[in-house]
Amino acid sequence: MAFFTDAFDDLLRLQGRLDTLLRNPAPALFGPSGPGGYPPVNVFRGKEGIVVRAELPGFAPEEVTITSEGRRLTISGERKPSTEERGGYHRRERPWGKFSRTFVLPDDLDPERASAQVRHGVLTLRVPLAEAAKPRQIAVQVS
Amino acid sequence: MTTQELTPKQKQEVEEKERTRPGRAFVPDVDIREDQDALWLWADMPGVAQGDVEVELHDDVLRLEGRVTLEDYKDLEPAYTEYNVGNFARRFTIPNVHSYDPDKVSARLVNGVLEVKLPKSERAKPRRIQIQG
Repeated sequence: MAFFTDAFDDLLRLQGRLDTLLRNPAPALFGPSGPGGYPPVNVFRGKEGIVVRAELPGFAPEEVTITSEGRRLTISGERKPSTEERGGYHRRERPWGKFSRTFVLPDDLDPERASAQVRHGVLTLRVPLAEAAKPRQIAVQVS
Repeated sequence: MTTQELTPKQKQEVEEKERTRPGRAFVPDVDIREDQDALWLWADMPGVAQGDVEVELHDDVLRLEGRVTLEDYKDLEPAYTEYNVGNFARRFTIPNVHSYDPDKVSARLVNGVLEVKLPKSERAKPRRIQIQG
């Protein structure tokens, strides 16, 4: 059972951390074109750079397009309505349509080396820190 | 087919007096369609892997539950957030549950969407009656 207990703790901890920020938005270090766009995104900071995550259920990886232009990064895609004609719908709640959302990245990141994957309907976009922004040790020269 | 813009909507929390699992769960958006052969159900469960979903038909209640994978969140500190992450849970009462074959219920997950098929029992399928001359 230990495995499950850990998973619950992890979930509670993650929900708590996300809640704190949802209630008190941090000053914009990362700029979406405006809040309230589709899809909602979460941005995380890791050791290597930032990770942008968005829930895109029903999107195959090839149905999501990511383009970068300078420091502007755009996520776009389209979810088609089901075209099944036989029978009738009792419920239709799942949204469909097009989306496009643009972000302005901080200038210590390197969008040239960004990578993305869509797994289980969740987009993960990694933008690494620019080499110049990485911490480095400066050797002290002995004179 | 016309296209439309997708707009975000707030994730809705599961409201239950007592929950079996800690942490908040969200209500997945669902499409339900019925044709001659089966009742089909699709539920958006982003972040849920194939092995982490439970589908159960108990009497006339169909229960869907999906657990999100959290390993992708290790070593990440949230910096800007617009949504929360949680498991998914929803229950439906199936009217005329005897029209379906409980042994043949099948489910699969594709790109974070759960698809459940409840095939109709032979008895319940529409059939054409020959008019005898």
